[in-house]
Formats: sequence, C-alpha cells, structure tokens
Amino acid sequence: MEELYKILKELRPDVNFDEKKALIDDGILDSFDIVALVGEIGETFDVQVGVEDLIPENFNSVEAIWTLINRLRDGE
Amino acid sequence: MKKVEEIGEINSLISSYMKKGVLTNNFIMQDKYMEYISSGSLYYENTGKLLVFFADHKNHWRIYYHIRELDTDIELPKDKPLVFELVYRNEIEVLRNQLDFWAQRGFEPYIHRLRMNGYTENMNYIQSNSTVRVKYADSNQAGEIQQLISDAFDRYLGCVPTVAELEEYIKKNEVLAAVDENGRLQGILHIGSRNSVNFIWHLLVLPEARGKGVAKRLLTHFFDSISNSKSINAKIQLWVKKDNMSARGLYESAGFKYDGWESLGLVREV
Repeated sequence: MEELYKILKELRPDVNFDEKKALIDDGILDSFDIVALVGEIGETFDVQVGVEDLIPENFNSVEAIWTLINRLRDGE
Repeated sequence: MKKVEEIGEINSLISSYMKKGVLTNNFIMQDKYMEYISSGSLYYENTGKLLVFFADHKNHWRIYYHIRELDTDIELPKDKPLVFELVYRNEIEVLRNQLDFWAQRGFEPYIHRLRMNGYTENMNYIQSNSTVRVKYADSNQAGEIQQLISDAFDRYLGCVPTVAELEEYIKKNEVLAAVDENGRLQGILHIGSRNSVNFIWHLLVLPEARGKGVAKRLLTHFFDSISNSKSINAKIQLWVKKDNMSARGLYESAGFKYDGWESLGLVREV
C-alpha cells in the first residue's frame, strides 16, 4: 500500500490521501487522473486494468484502489 | 475502419497499450465507451504501434489515440473533420512529440481552454446592477437557447446540445434564463452535476445585453441554489477559453481559480 500512496502523491502532491475518503465523489480525482494512475499501477504492480474496471467506484478511495490492485493480482 | 461491437473488444485492443511511456489522449471511462458502443458510433484502426479510436460525433470524428512508437502511420478518414483534445497539467512542451506527430498529419491546434474550480464557501457574491429576472428556462425556449449555444460555443468541442437534449436539461432545472421586463432572453447558464461536483457547461449573454451584470446575476442565482440544496462547500468546475479574458475575469472575481489543467483542441479539416 505504501507504493500506491507514493504513486498517488506523485500524481497529486496537492492532495492529502490520508484524509480524503471520497476521491471521485468529491471531485478530487477525475478521469484524467485515473488514466494517468492506471498506467502507473500497471507498471508498478504488473497488473492489467481493463475497461470494465474503469469505473468511479474502483477509484473512490485509496482502499478501493488497493482492493482493485489485489483483485487483479489474485486473478492472474 | 472497423466498428467496435462490444466492450470486450476494447480490452483486447488497449491491453498492449496500457503501459508507461505510451503516448495517449484517451481519458474515457467505461460509461463513455458503453455510450459510444450502444449507439454504434465507435470505430478503430490498429497497427500494433498506433491504436486510434474514432467516435462519430455527426459533424466530426472525435479521435482517441495510443501511440507506442512514433514511426508508424495510419489511414485517417477524409469524409469529415477529425478532432481530438489533449488534456494536460504540465507544460505543453512535454507533449511536443505528440503535437509534432499529429501536425505532420495535418492537425492544427485551434482552441485552448483552462479549467477553473470554485467552492461555494469561497464564492464571492458579486454585485450586479442588472434588472434582469433569473428563472429556470421553459421548454418552449429550448430552440432559441440551443441556437444561442450553437452560435457561441465551439461546434466540435463545445458540448453543444441538440434541442432534444436541451429539453431534457430544462426539465431537470439545469438551465437558468435571465429575462428582461418584457420576458426577452438576455442570458443563459447551463449547469450540471456529477456526484458532488457541479459543472458550468455554458454561460452566455446576448451581445446587446453585455456589460450590464447579467452574467453576475446568473452566477449568483446558481451559487444560491447550490448553497441551499447541497452539502457544505460544494465544488463547481468549468472550462474557459484561455483568450477569453472577460470570462476569466468574471470567474476570478467570483472566486474561481485555475487548477492547472488545460485542454488543447486540434482539428484536421476536410
């Protein structure tokens, strides 16, 4: 999870990801951020984020993103 | 061009391009893919080094691309204009190789926009001496409003709604109209929301009504409606043309701030 925090902080140094819990709902992350994030996640964790996973619910919190990554890792 | 028939095809096409270092302008999410596919308006070309999606927007093809290697080429349709957007937060120069790639294929930048954010807690209730009355638009104004938006906003990237779409927005109370004492339209504000974020899609004032505080009245009415109905400190977002200094000045005086995101629209005309 530390690596994910590092990616998020590099992507959006203006956001405190420890505090924010509704990243999409509150408009903190939007589709531009998600696309950038997906590329980094793919490389760092060696997973493939499919189009079916490009839904707001999977990116609404750090925990949700981590759950997505683990699900993709387990599925491979 | 081949047509995308179902969502599973997208994964097969994109999988080898979802890597760091691949140049892309594609920020669409699953819901937008589904919308395109269900309306039968999404096509693609794939060379293995370059993948381009073509979305049929009636008066143009909207393109979303993934470039793995720059020494590649692709057949582009010639029946109508091709348009794409580059959305970025850093200096545009980091996108120089993409701009050069598409310039060699006849694309030229033609519209540059900035994104601004505001929060209802920080909005300035700007003074206006205007005597217009602001109300929700009526459905019988849809045709007139559609024409005004169509005349004022970019025909490719300006999100210009059809009359039918506008009627739906009007039904949902998403279009505010400023009218004079004779009921004549002086300005409109088209708004929307997604999750907790509110959007200003279109704000315009008729030429003969400009300089009289109409836009300020519309914005103030909008801020009031959000403050009354939404959770504390709602976010409001908009895109404004970089060279539209009067609009930028208006939004800044209202409390909006540029958030670093910019959009460059490029077109290859027929």
